[in-house]
Amino acid sequence: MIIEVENLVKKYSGKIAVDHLNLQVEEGIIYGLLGPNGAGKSTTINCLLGLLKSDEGTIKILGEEMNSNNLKLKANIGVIPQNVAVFEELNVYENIDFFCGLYIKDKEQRKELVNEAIDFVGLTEYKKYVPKKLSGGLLRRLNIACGIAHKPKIVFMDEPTVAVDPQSRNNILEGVLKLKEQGSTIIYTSHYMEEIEQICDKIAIMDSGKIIAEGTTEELKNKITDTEKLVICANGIDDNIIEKLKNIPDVKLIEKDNNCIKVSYKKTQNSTLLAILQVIEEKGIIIDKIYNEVPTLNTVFLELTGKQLRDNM
Amino acid sequence: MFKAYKDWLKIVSRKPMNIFWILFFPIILVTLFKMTMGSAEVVSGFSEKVKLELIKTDNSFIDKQIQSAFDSEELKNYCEFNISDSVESSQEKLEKEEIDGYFYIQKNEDSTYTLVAKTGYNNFANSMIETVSEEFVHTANNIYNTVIEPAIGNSQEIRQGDYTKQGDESFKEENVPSLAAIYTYPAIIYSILFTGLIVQYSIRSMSSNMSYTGMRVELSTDKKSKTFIAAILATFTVGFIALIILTIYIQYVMEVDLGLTTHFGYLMLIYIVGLIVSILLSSMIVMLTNRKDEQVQGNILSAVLMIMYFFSGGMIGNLSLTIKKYAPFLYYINPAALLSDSVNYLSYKKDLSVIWLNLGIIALSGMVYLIVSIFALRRKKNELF
Repeated sequence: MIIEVENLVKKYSGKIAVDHLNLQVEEGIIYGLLGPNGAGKSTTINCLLGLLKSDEGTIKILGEEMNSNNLKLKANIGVIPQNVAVFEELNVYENIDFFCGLYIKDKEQRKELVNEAIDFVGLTEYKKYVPKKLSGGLLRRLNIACGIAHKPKIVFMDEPTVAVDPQSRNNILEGVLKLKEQGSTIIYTSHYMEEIEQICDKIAIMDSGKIIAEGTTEELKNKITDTEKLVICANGIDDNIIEKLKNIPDVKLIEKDNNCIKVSYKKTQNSTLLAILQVIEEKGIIIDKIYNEVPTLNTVFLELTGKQLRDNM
Repeated sequence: MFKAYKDWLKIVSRKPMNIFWILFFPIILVTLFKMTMGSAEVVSGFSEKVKLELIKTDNSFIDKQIQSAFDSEELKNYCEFNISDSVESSQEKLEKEEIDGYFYIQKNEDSTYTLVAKTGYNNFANSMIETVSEEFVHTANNIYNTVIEPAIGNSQEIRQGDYTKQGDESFKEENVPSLAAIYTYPAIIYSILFTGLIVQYSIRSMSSNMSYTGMRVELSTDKKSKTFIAAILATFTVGFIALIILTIYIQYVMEVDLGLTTHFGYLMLIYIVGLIVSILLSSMIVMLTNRKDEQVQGNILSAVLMIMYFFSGGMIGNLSLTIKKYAPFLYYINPAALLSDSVNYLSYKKDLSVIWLNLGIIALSGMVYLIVSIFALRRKKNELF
């Protein structure tokens, strides 16, 4: 394990922000950390980075106890904060050189690393540009380059794709996957569930200072879904039919969307599906389209926390 | 360390507003002043002579001594002296603004004498009266102390001391205050003081609880103290270069003598100590307000600096002297007032020991700012996001 957290507790004026949290991150994976606002996600990251002192528990990174004086450990950590953390007065090259210079003293080595980082994020053409001349997407790439130029083993990425165009987002996500291929371990937080699903090997969902679920996307989906959602599209589905469907035992919810209805029912009862189809058939309705809606990570998150991630994080 | 210093030098110097406030704004101020006052010849002298009166005493020796001092050719270029028979008559003229001030000698109970100067509303004339009075303290045999009394309000004692040596020095050109010099000090003090504003950006940029760049600095393997010193040194360098350019501009373009050639060492010392203290003061304010939003923090810092500048007489000529008299504590804790007085002394007064005293107090204040900053730094929390 590259990161091991045991029984981490952090309180603010007696109020618990992180509650006996346990976390293990394997080397070389992309670990997604999700949680609504106030879940304790930021506090956990601050503790992991050594910016905050925990009240209880241990944090081991690369097998060593994390503290702000452990320079060896610090050299292996890179941070890409949500807000672009660069100097407006320095150009692309100078910015990366500044942050890389905080780790690497040798001028030649630094020059090589800075150029590598520039190539990695695709900013070669913009070396001499100052940040205000860069688009939002290019700025995000610069932000990433500043955090990875010194080649850290562990990279903390906090919402690296916020407010960027789709092209830049794809570029960034490809970069994250490339970082993983190069052997880095990435702790990734994002509002975008599809991103998390797309790139994370393992996901932890936090709420009230605890990890309430952890696993791969599939594992998480299996953990929570005892509900199937059947989508039926046909002409002639009226309120009478909907009422009849509602009376079927184990049908939890019916949502109407134009010609389609979404029927949520308890997964375990096979007879429920037959009963639903029977009601439709009895009315002589010809079904245009019928399919099972696969639960998304968003559904998982919603069911576990009862909150919408995008609005509350 | 040198790399960090170079980087911070770029960061600090490339911020246009920094350069505007510490260099271009003071240059605009002094230029506008010169434009207002007309040609350089007028600026270095007076457009109108200061009208002063001397009240005759019943002691012919003292009368002679005073008169001989006022007979100085240099003073006559700037002042017009007349003899008056009574305090009442001069007071009446002062109230009608027919004269700018008057002097009389008062015999004390211990047989020493006090030179009393009554001033009017003309700030420049008041500065001239102050100079003349101080000169008497130095040169006259029997004058024990000097009191300057504004036409309205209470008196303010500007200097006391046992000056008993027989003086035969006459006024020299450098002992006469230049109108231009008086109005260019505030620009210098402004530049020194507002170099501190640059520090806000530097400190915020390297503090993990104030910015994300600071978080990166905090998480790096580099010693934070090294980065801090590099940023402070860079700020100092930019401030110092701006001051030198400003001084050269005032001295050679505006043709106002700030003492660059005669008191180069003193001037540089004042600049260096002033900049260090200004930077330390601003650092302290930034550290103490580290939980505030950048704009709120900037406003607090600007307000503190502006108040200091105001009370140093940057906007009202003799305000610092009034504060010195009635609230000396406020005067001595205001580095801007002490710096302002030091530059002032440098320009036209012979006794430069006051500069050492002022700089000593400023340095002491700097130590206090530093200690408070360190305590504030130790108490800060690092979390940002």
